Amino acid sequence: MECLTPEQVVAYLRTGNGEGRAVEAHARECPGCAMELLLAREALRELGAARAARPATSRKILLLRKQSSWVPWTAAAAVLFAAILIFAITVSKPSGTTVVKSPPKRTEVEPKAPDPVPPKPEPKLVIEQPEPEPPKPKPEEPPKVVVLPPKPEPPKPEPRKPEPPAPPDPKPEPKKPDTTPTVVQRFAVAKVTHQVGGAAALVGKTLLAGDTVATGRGEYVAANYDGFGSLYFRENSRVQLDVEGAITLHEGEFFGKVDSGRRLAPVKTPAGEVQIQAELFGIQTTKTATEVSVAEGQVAVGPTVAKGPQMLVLRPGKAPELKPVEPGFAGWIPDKLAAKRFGGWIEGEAFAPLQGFRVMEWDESSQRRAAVQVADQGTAVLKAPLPFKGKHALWLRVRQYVNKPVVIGVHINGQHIADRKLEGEERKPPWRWEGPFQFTADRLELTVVALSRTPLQQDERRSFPVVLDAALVTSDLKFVPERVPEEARAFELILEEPGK
Amino acid sequence: MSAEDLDLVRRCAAGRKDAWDEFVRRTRSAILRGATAALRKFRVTDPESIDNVHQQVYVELLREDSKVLRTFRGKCDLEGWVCVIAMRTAYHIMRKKSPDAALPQFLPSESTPAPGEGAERTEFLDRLDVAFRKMSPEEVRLLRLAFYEKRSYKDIADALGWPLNSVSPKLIRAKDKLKKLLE
Repeated sequence: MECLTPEQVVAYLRTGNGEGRAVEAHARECPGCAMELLLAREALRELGAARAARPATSRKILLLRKQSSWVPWTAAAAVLFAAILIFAITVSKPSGTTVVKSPPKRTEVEPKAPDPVPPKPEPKLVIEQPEPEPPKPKPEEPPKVVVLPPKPEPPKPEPRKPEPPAPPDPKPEPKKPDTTPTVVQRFAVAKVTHQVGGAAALVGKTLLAGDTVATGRGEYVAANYDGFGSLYFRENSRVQLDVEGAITLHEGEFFGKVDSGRRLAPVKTPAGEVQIQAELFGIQTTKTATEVSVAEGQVAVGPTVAKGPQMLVLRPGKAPELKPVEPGFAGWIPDKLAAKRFGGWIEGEAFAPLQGFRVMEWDESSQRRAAVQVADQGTAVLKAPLPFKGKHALWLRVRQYVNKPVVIGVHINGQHIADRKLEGEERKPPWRWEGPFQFTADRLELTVVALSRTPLQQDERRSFPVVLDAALVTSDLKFVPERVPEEARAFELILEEPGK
Repeated sequence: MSAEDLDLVRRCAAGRKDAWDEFVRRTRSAILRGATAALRKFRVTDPESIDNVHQQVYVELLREDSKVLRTFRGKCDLEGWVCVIAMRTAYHIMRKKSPDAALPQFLPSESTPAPGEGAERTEFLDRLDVAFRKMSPEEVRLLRLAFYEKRSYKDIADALGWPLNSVSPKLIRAKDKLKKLLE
């Protein structure tokens, strides 16, 4: 089958003729015709809508013509009857009474209302109104009053005016499409799904096009961006959301998780526009720079392209720079997919038991320090930014396989927080939470050191004194994670409402 | 309906003045709709451009002894037919006018059935729509240039800023992907 003709396209879209299958088979093979079908569908939809909105002039005319050829005598009789009727009415009414009275009233009203602009060309306006299309009439409120007063004469010659010059006078038509875009509408573009901190409750709130998400100190917001995916806004951020994936980052940081196959419009930042073709990306802007991190896919600023895992740094007046992505930079987001691809907090299976602790073996941020520790002393290092700066409590989930006391040292952001003695338990000891270890920061760099000198045999993992498999950070200092089930994900970042 | 349309078109092709007047009167609105829908994709809404397409459609229909007009077989309604022709004409005029301009987004904002569209058709067209949306914008652009605009490999390479020899393999891949998505 050759490429589809316009007639085949319309026939396919409008009616179910016998060629339907053939058209579909061809469209599968020919992307050009497939596109044509979709485009034509849109155009025909518009045409259909226009027809529905307007009296079907052409069809009406055809119908009238048909009738006139059929029943000329009936038409003649009707005309005669109408003439007689009009004559009778005219004769029966001696002089203009009510009819005359009502117009003067209205003519009085008109001069009294000089407020509206000097609309003397009313008759013309009146003529345009009965037109099927609603072209210009601006917010003039009293069109009905204006319509009748001038003359009782029917303004017949005018309305017919557009009809006779048939060919090229598309005057009223183009106006209609023009008016459509001028209608100001604000579409719902996103819905808040999660919130930590902040005075006003936002969860469930619908964000309209043009709305700005502004997070305060200690506030974190997640939203579902309609048709595009999820967005996570960090504290002290201001991000404007618009239709068709248009995002403007004024300040702060947000993380985007874009649905497969969707693409955002270039993200506007103070340093410039960033084109994003990635499912996961983080973008942060400060007074001096804008950083865009991407795990897979790519981001671009002009000709500079950062392919994941990479970070693109934009500074005003300087050429964009490419840097390696910071592991765990997106760890503040409680999103498993983001965590898996960007590091930070991941599921327990990915942790390797090393030197008495399970650590993220691929986490470059630890620089494999755990692996190079001396055999009888282990260190676990984890790094993750937190949604906001403030007081936090850290809990560690531990398990001891050997029934002997062990001492661990907890260091956060380089500061020694505490040493904790863990008593051993007999038989199958359950997982338990140790804490709280309080600290004030907007990031977590946790180092846990096994202080007990328990010599290990090579490959003798079971003799490890302590296994650390999860860390929990919360801003609720009173929170005790007793009810966290055993099967809770390891190293999952759990954020709770900050304590009041 | 179609018999009357066909008769009208035949009379027009035969050069009957009264028929042409009626044809113009009947098709004007549909042409304007098709032109408006296509031009909107290029963010063009001014009446002059729409009118330009409107005139050009008649020129196309009458060119070479009404060659295009004579292709009408009455299998669909006249308004729909001219609407699609207007859409094509508008697209080609705009692409000719500024071939280097950014390609417009061709997919509609939402996939809604056209009036009178059967359920079976809707299902297939929706699948087409979804398939195109699943492809990357670059792939869609490539397919459009190659198949809808029927451009040469060189033009495509220039338009997309690719090396000439990478067009063909990418095109094959994109086409295969679309096919798979439609399976």
